[in-house]
Amino acid sequence: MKKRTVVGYLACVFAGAGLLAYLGCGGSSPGSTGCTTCPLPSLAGSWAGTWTDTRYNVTGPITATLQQTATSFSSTGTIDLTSLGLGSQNGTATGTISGNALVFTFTSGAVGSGSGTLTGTAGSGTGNVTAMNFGGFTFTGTVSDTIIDGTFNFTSPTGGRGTIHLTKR
Amino acid sequence: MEHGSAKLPLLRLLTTIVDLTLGILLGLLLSNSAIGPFFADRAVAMLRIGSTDTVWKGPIPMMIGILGTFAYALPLSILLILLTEPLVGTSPGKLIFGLQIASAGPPILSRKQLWYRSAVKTIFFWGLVLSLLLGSWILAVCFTILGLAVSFNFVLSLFLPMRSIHESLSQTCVARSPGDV
Repeated sequence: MKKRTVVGYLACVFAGAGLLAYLGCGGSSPGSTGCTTCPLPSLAGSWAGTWTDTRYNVTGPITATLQQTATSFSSTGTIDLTSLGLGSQNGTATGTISGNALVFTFTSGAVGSGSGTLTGTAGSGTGNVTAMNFGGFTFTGTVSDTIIDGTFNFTSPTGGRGTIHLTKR
Repeated sequence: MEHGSAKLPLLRLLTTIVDLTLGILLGLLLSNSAIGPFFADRAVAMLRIGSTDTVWKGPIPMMIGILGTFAYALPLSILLILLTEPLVGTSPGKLIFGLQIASAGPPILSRKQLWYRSAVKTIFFWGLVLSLLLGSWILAVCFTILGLAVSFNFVLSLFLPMRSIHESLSQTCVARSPGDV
């Protein structure tokens, strides 16, 4: 059960971060709505920030490295779940871009994986962790060249929900 | 009063483990039905999850919440397994290990004695189910304390020369089934 918990939150973080990397537009300020016609921000590089579950008042740091091309993206990184007694966990996410649509998958070892889609540059999406009782999640966010801000919400009645904030190093 | 060999306490412990395990398995099934989300919703109300004044915050409540459709349906699933005692006179664990419930008072075991025994023995589980349905965390705390006391008393009765409270109040005992060596 603990490993699946890690998969779930890790998947959410990296999928959200990876997807949010292609939302919004250059020069958009955090908190504003995404720009549907602007070019994608330059997001390749190292990022650091925090995740915060506002429902249960639990938080921890995140680091991620993003790579992007005209047709694909990928990310690797670490999420610190020490506040949950689970230590730091690694994960990856990959995706393909076609037009203004992005399809991505995320995974952590052989425990579980998930996928999601994003259409246009709207800062939102959904996903599902293929692990017993973990369920699905939704996310929204805004992105600039230096800041990623997002919110996540697990659809289980007692699941977590909160925010992710990353800044480029 | 208990009947049987010195192995009886071990057999009783094993029957409890079997019954609880079946309850957990049933809980996994229920978590994937409409019942799991229903009790998870009730837990949000009972524990005021997400409210600013709730005490149900932190890593452990968060972990339980992730498994909410299973965790909060678990009291019901275990209760359903343990209700086999008053309904059919025995539990799956007792059936497997050749034990039976007998009367330690009246000459013939009555249905009333079985229900009385079950009501005390399963107070933790039916109490939590009731608390979830009513959305009352105060009730949940009370039934948790009572349940822990009954459980602790039962464990002590396995190792000490004493009767458990659910057997004392219902005038019942557990013995080997006829024909078992």
